[in-house]
Amino acid sequence: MYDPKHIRNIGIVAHIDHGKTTLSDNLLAGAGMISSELAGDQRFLDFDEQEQDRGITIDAANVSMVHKYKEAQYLINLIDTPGHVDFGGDVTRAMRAVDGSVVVVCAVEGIMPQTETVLRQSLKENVRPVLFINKVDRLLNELKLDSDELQQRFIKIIANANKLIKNMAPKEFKDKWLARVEDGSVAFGSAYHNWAINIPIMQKTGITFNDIYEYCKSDNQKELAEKVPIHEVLLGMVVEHLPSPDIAQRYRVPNIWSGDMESEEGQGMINTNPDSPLAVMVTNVSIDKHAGEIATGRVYGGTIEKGSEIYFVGSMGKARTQQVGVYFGPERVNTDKVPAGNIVAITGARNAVAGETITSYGNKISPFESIEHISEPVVTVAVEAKNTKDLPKLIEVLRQIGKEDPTVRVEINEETGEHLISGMGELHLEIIAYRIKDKGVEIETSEPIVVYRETIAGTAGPVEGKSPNKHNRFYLDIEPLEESVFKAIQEGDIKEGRVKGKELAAKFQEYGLKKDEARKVWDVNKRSLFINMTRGIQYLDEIKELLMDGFESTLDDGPIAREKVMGIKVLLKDAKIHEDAVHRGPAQVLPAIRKAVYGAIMMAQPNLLEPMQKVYINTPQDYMGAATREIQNRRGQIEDMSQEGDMTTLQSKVPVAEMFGFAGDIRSATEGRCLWSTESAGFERLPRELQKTIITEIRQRKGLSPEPYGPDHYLG
Amino acid sequence: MKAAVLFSGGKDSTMAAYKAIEQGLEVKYLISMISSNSESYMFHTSNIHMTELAAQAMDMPLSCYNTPGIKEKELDDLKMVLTDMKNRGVEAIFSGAMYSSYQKSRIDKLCQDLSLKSVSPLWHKDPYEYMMELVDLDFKIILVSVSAAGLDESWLGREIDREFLEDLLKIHEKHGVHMSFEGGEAETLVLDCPLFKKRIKIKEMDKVWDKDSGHVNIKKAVLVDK
Ligand SMILES: Nc1nc2c(ncn2[C@@H]2O[C@H](COP(=O)(O)OP(=O)(O)OP(=O)(O)O)[C@@H](O)[C@H]2O)c(=O)[nH]1
Ligand SMILES: [Mg+2]
Repeated sequence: MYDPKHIRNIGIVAHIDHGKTTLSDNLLAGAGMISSELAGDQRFLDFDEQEQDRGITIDAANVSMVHKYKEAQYLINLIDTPGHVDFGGDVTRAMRAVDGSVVVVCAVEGIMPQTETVLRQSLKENVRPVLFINKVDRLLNELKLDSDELQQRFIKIIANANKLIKNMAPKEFKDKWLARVEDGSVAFGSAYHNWAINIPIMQKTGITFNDIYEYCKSDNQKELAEKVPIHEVLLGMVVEHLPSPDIAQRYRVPNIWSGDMESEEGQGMINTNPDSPLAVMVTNVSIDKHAGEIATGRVYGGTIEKGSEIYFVGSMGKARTQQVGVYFGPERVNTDKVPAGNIVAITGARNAVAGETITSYGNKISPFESIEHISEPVVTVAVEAKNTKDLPKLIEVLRQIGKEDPTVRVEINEETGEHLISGMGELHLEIIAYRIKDKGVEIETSEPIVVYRETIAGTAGPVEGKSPNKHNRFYLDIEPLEESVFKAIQEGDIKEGRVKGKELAAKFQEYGLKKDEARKVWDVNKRSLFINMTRGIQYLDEIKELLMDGFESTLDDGPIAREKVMGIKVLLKDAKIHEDAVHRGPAQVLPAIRKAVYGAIMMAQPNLLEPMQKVYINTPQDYMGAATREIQNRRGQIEDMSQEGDMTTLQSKVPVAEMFGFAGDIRSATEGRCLWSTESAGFERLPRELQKTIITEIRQRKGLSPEPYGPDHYLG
Repeated sequence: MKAAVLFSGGKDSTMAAYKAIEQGLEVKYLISMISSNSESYMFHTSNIHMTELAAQAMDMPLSCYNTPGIKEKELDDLKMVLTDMKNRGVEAIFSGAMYSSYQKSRIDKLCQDLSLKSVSPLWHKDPYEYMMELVDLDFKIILVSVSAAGLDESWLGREIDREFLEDLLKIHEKHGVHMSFEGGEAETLVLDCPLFKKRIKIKEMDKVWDKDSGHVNIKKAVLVDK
């Protein structure tokens, strides 16, 4: 086993198709872990049938390799992540397992929105990035740049990347973590043609930009690959610039673990101590046909051993590890124990889910911070078993899928047998449906349905909500939540959850909440706030939790169409509470607060929001018109258009509801000559003229009366 | 000892009367406070007019008093009534309070001031066992009002039997509704019980539902032989 100083845990991240898998493959092959015939073109690491068919990565892949650098051997644990937005949850989770990331940027496309997203995901976890500018061969052979233009292009990409790093990196690293040409924390090359270079190596080897130009032009990249093999350059860069676990854990642990740093386990993690209490964060769960559930995670403290009893801190469950393994090349190999600083694969960790904290049984430690993925499911399908005999099996399979992929939301309805699966996009759901069938259950799926949100545009209040027995009354004001606070919650700068004490007051104020409100926030839920503006009301403390339960449950299904509510601010202004505990139980308080919030929403210009996507299309000039029409026919707006050589890049924003079937349509509109990608763009108000139709449609689908109830239904 | 029972015609006050007699007391009066506020904190209001029929069924004298039913002030009215009772030789006041300390503490206090004995025979009984006891004793009880999450229109007018209790248990688990409605989740009317010499038969009634609560209006009821 390698000592932490000689380990690097890294993730390969990028916008879709920028070459992560091709790169990872060739690193593995270069390190002698797989044969070079299998690497690259074949995309060895995309071994899943769906990945091969579609030419994209769907599941993050864990691999490892050994690299010799300056006379020492290093173990590189590498995670190849997917680039498609629908699978962005995998990137978020991978970032919890690693200490460094290689951000791959296609030299032709440059920094894309998903590049920004993965950089954000990386920096948020205090994971240091280095840059690899890929597909340089295309700049020369397709875009026909000369060697000067080539350098200009690099400078631009690096400057853009550094702007993002500067913005998003943790304070103490804003400067340190910038990508610097001169120190070799940026490399450029071609993953496909197996070469890469950076300035220190250019100086060492004497290879110039002109030489590169010549090699590419004269179709002799093979020779270049022999002189500067990609694995040497990139793994060298990784060892040199990305931190080893023992260094990274010092600053990463306080960011992801809120326990006491002075405690034994806290010190153990800070020092990557293999003899301290066990602390493992599970970052991925997959089902192996033979071995069953495999939980992959990062060992932050202590050592996990084969056959030992482990304890799940979050779910308070217990299990015995059957096997513990590490990755060796593309394989999982079992061993006796895996110490702090490593990535471990645990067999037998039954019922573990991604995000779980593992320690030894009988031990008590605080859990790691939960892993929050920024985007949320926006598309839903209903699935049903084709054959009644499969009913129980389908439920089992659905539960499994929910466990393997925490970004999927599964709602099981045993009564009707019609289950709902919500995912990040159409592709995500297609893959899930495919995997259900793959597990031997024939299913029927409905057309995909978009997930909407409810919010308000106006204010209302005070409104009065009465309990059924009329002896408890709550008086509320409601307002749209300040945009800045909304954004801070969305981006994770303000964490969701019930607020304890005044700990967050300064933060709320910093993001624009009024001072008197900032001190009195009770609950942050679904990007909405519940604020107690009352003073000295008797018994209020005893029903505080109930009020928050009620508030949260109204956000789960709103009054307009039973979709989730977001972006509201509820201010409790006054309350009358029965002095007798039996008269202010949940059956009284919950309906009272729910009715008040519902009524208030219906008085404050209720509105439906729809999910939006950014759509980037890259197509030859000739097809630009056809591509533009495709966007405009889908209620899309063209936001930007740029041209380079014969290629046009179109940036647009389109409602997700209109995106179904886009893949096929754009392909035929451009006769297959386009590259396109999407990025989720949050929720926006549904156009006024569609509000009524869509509301009725959703309500009827859910078996509700076609029109929402007015405020009178809830108040008075 | 002579006793009076604070009587609404519902299950708890009828049971209080039953217990008083079981304990060998002489129940001289049933006291009905008729509140004109339907949201009174102290007194049940649904179909309070039915107490007259119930008293007849039990063949007991009924004293009716009107009160505007305004919070705290309604206590002055009760005090007046209890003073009246005391003057008529009553020594103990029975009430059906189980968990509502609001009611009990106030009645206790008034009684203490008047040196009357205050008895709440149902105080802190296990609600589920209590409901079973009612069913076992052949109390015929219907719900005349409901007001709690989980109790919808179908519960209005429903008779309390074993099936009822099973269903209620589910709602209790889901919504926290009190198993004997001590939180005011429902009000009841006793149509028959061992104390009744005749039983009440409802001839005409209608149901009124508003958002999350509702009540039954009994328009016509008569006594029939058992
Ligand atoms: N010309 C050229 N093509 C490349 C290079 N690197 C990758 N490609 C091609 O780009 C396409 C996408 O490569 P992948 O490695 O699958 O990209 P990826 O980033 O893993 O894609 P996702 O995982 O789906 O996000 C493939 O057709 C590769 O052959 C390169 O350096 N030069
Ligand atoms: Mg890939």
